[in-house]
Amino acid sequence: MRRTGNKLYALLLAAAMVTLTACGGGGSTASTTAAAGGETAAAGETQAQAEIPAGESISQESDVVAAVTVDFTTMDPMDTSDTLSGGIQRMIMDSLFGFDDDMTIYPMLATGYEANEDATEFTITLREGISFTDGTPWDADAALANFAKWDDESLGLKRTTFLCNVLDSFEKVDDYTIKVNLTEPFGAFISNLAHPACVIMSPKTIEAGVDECARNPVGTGQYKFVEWIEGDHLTLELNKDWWGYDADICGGTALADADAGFKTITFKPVPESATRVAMIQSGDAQIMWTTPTESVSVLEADPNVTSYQDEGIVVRFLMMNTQKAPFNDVRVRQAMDYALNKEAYIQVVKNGLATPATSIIGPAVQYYKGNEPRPYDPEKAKELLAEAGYPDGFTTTVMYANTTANQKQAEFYKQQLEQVGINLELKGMESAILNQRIQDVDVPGSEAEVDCYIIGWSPSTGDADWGIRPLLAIESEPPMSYNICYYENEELEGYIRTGLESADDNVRREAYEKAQDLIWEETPMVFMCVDSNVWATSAKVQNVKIYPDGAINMKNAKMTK
Amino acid sequence: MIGKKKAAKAELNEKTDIKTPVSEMIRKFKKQKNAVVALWFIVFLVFLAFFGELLAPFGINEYDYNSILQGPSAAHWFGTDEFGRDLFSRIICGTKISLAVGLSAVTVGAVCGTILGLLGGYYRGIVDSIIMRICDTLFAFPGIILAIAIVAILGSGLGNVVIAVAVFSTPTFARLVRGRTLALKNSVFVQAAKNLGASDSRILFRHILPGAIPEIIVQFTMSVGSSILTASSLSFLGMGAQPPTPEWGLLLSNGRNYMLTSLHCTLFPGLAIFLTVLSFNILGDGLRDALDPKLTD
Repeated sequence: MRRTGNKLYALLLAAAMVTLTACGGGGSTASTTAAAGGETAAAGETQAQAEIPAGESISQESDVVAAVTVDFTTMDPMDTSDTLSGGIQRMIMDSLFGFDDDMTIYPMLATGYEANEDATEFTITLREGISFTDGTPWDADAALANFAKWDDESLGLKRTTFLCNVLDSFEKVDDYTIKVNLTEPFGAFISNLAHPACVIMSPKTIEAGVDECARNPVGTGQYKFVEWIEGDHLTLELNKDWWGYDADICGGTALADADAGFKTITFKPVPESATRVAMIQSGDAQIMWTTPTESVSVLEADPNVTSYQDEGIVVRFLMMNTQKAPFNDVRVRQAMDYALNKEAYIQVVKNGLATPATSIIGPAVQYYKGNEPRPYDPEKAKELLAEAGYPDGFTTTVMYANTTANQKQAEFYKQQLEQVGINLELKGMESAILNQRIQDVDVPGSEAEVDCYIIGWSPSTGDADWGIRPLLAIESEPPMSYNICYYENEELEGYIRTGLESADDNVRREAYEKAQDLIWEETPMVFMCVDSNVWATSAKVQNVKIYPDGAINMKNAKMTK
Repeated sequence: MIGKKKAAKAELNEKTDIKTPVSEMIRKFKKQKNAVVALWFIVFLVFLAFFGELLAPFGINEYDYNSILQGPSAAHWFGTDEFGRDLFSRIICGTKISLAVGLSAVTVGAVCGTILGLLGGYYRGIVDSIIMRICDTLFAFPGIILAIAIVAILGSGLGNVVIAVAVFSTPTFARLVRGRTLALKNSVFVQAAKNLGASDSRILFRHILPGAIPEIIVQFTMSVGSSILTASSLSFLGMGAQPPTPEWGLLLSNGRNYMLTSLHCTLFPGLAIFLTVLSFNILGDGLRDALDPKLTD
């Protein structure tokens, strides 16, 4: 009897293997790589043992491998649109103002600033005693070289519009002071200087041209750029002379401890999530970003791996076209909100790794104000639909880029909305085609093809402005930006203007709080959740964090034996 | 007495048991146990295709958020998927889709290929050259790549998968039938029909085509298996059936995300595809042996 059982099991396994191999490389790649990974790790250990001279710490020379989801796009901060590349750049280059782990702004290469009342004139004082890793000193001239690059539209870089429209002129006051004049009041200017696009490059690199900036970045940062072989790896080396280790330059306490326990970090792009999991489990990688949510339980059970999660600032929405029936009626939009069960959404779609959204921006974003989420109440939803003239529900469509995660969301929405009589047709498509049909259209909202749209948004400036304006301001309607709700509200426009044009913290806070209350009431989109960032490290590596916007933070990273 | 009866029966059998090609085929086919089992399995699949929805214990879209990704149990024989839907019911209901896609695609391919092959082989000349060069071009692509290219042009969806699979199975049939036509064209009975003044279409469809039928049947059966596999692969890649359709390839693709934690999500859809494709291939092998007049017992 037992024999038959074994035979049957073997047959089943063989069957599964044959089928998987036949049906696409995904599954089989994972297992092969896992095996290969195990071998590499083993080889690495023997080598390390052979090389240790007595009495010396082995870890000082070692390399940390980080498996990340996609390859980097460029090393030029002004040409970067993905958080991952931006995160690496933040390690190589410091900015005038930086974000700490909670996205609070603190001075880095600057020591402070003064602004006039209209927020059009900023005087920034620079930190002294710092030099770039190529030996160039950090001073007002170096700062102005960077401002000149940010303001140069002729370079044709992706992020140029980020600042060039507001920058009017900039001048040197003395060796460590600069003055920046803006064309219009811009309260979020300092936050924008903390955006990863505005990290400071060596003037020598800037002079060498955009190609040099993209391939060989030099900054004042904690890490030095070593090499980047596209599609394979990118290596950074710890900069022992980083100013952040020097308590005197930092003005009291050092930003980090110089003894990191490793010498280099190698980032490897590994798109297949099962392969990343296998790499971290086999010891082939020491850091994994991101962890596929479905693998969290596997990693938590592994004693050699530590799994982390932290609150992010990516908010997930279901956008509705507010200029088309039936979503032009606020009662229908609210009914959609009542009909979608956020708790179930987080359990089913996010494997529990998210928190219900309480505003259009996440709690870690500046000027966040939470609201009480509407409870899951299908009966109330039906009442509202009946009031709005849809007692029997209606049929509508949802468009989305057909990634696994979006697909799951769409199916969930369909299942939930069916309960209140709304028939949701799923229109998943390839993202380039989706952009053509949603983003590159210049028609009024009432004529746009889109009914509902699935999107997630994270404002990398950490400021409420970038979390609201691109999504709901009239100026942001396609093809300009992401107001796919085609939402037009003069009251909201007023708050956005006020927030933008003032540098006064209290004025801005009040404007953005009112804006968030208004948006919550008006419900141009259903707010689903704030994603958690989920990552994992080998148990030997500590203090690797992920910034709320999704960039890697290795400032205090340490490796122990 | 008994012996006499037996002898009489044997005599009777010999008389009535006239060896028609069909009976000969059935006799040869029955000898191959594998093929018979495969045939019964396919009959079972066809039964499921028609009555699957009545037999399924749960609805295909009946979700239960409280029992997500549960392993096989008495209530859920094949476990549940990421929405707590019953995998057993979804696989049963998916039979219809996989069989329909496989059969319809190959039928279209077989009809087109047969007509092209007959025309090319019979008329030769420029018609033959054009048809065969196009077929050669299509042969140059690996089947799945060609299917992906076609679906990429037409857009995803099961209808387009049928077209894609039909296109790539056409040249096989065309080449096969052309070869047979070339051989039969010069046979005595075709020449006789020609001399008696039979029209081209009569010669093609009444005299040559029946001669090619055994090959077509074998090729058809084999192709169904590979088409089901291709259609599943396309759905696996997100180019075929769209969720929440319970197409097997799509179930496999969804389950892939949970392979480390919930093996049943890939195991059972994978098994369904594997067994179906295997059955069609074994059946095709069996039919070939049964239909080949050169093979003796």
